[in-house]
Amino acid sequence: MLQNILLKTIRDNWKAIMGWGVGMGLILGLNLVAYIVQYPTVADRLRGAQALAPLLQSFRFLLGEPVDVSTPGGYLTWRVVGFVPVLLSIWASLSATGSTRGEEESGIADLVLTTPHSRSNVLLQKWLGYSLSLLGILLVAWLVTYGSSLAANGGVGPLESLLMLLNLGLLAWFWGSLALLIAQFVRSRGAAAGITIGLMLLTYLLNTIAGALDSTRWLTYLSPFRYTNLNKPLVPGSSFDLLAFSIAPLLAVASFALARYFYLRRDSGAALQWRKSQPVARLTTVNWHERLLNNIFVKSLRDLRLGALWWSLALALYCGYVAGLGSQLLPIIKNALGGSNSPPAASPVRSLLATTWWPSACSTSCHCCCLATP
Amino acid sequence: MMQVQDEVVSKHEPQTNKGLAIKIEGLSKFYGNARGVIDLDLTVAEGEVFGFLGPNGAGKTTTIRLITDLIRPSKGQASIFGLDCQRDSVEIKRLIGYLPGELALWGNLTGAETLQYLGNLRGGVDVKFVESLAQRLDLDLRKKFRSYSKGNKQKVGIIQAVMHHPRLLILDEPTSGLDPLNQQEFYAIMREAQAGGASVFLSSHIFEEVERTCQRVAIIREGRMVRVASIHEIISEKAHRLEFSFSQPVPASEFANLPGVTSAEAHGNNLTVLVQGSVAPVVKTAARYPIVNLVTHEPNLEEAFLQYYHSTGEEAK
Repeated sequence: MLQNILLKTIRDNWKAIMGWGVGMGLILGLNLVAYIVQYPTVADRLRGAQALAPLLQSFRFLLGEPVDVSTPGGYLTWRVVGFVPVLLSIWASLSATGSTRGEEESGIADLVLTTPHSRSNVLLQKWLGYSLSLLGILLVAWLVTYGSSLAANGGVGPLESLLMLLNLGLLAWFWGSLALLIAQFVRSRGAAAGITIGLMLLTYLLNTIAGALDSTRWLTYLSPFRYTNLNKPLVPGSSFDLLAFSIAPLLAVASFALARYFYLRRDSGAALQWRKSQPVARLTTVNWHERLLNNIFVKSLRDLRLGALWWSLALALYCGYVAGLGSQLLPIIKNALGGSNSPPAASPVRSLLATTWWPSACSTSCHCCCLATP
Repeated sequence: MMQVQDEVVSKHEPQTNKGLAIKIEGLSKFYGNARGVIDLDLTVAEGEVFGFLGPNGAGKTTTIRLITDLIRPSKGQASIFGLDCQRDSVEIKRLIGYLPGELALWGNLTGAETLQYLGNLRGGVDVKFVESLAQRLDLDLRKKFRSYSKGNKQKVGIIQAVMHHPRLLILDEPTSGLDPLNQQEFYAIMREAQAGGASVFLSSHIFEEVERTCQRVAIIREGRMVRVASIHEIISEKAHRLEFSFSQPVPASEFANLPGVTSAEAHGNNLTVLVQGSVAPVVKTAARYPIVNLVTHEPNLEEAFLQYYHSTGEEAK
């Protein structure tokens, strides 16, 4: 595994391949098993689907387009498949930037780049290593998912589950490749991954919220999630849209091509410079009165100010966006909460909200951890 | 300033019939608001051990990163063995061994794994030679890189730079962190590499190291090359200091006009004379008086360097 840069990259990702593969497989597999245990017969499943139908319709703005949840595959698509690519894309962004910008930051890249390999070749091997590691995660996740399906005596087929994971994996592949592109413009791995994850969450919300309203539905075309969600291989009878399936890999390859273009034109360890620098005779003067270095507290504020600024802006934009749509969303929410005629209806709503927000909260926490890690 | 520099450089072109290991012409690098290097000109002959001196931040590492194609020049060009540093960088990298000033490697790999990987990236190396180098430097290759001390990390860096028998060694402060015993072993390794025909481009702060290993040196200051010359030339430019004690006061004026004397100061029975070149006229004159004691201070590279730096600093002001 130390033969070349590609194998070394896969070697570095070995633990992540097993951990993320098994973790994702367990999320999918356990949900599948839980569904089969809770709804053992077709009649149970139909009843469950009927109870959930109004909720799915009403909470399109959170969960995306409703699917037929009367089958294990449909249920899995509704319950889990929506947010798994978000989690996987976080890993993809961190991994793609770690082996490239991360090694530049630490100084390791200097030695690798002085071995007889072109920059292009080094970047290509690292990108392929990252891509194959992602494929490894998908294969491990597939083995666990399909194994769970077999253990639960049915549920989802091997080809459908493989296609579903591949569909999600291609989206993560794109986000990782985009992170590699963004890494050409910033000096740190954390910044590149952070910007990518921020963009990803933004487009995720764009796809779910804007897609719920006719007036803003056109905005979903800007979100890569839209094209991934068009294919639902686990839902029986769903059609396969090859064009939508191809968009994420095409964007991934284009992102890599652009990343390579910029990588070849910049200094190792530096961000791409747009303007040509001019000679400077003397070093500029130093500010010895920086107030944000007076004590540990203000130094901490200083360290977090950029992240805090971006998060505040993002949250403000999100809040503004939701508030702007409030008048249109309110009837939908009222309908969802008051539309059920049975008393326990509030419980599935709460459960639905918890299910929907958990992945968002989880990914937000992951992001915070990434940003906080020096 | 540049005209003077050009003259200095052309006067001290390497006296050899061999080809050039390194040729730098008008090389400049500007970083935003920070100074990089400006209009560098330099040649290093094949087989030569060349020292690169300068204070912190003078531009030594920037120059090295430019010729290794880690960063791109703002203008000018550099070549190694006649190959363009940018256009033919892959071919050049087959010929060089590089030790960066701030060595960073994979903490989760052992010393052996690190060298195995870097060796593989170079198309394979002689494992026996690697083991012999590790033995000479007293390095345990079974430990993880992260657990090594600074000195041991540096040893891994030295081994990876020389293990593939490069034609040109580019070393940025190679003995940083090494104990005196291992420094000696490193010098021996470098001598062997040179005996095998390798050229060495050595950036260092240690004057003794440069003085004993290099044939020529370049001095860089605030991004500009201020001197390129042989060690002997630089040292000979520095004045000898002779401190006489006589049994009676002597007239300083009698010494001040002697050939090569730059300064003569008398304090009571003591006389201090600074001489460039031969000290014979001073000693002959002093012999006419009753000498009680004589102390001579041989100039070394460090004194020459500091003197040179001091004077150029004043000129700059």
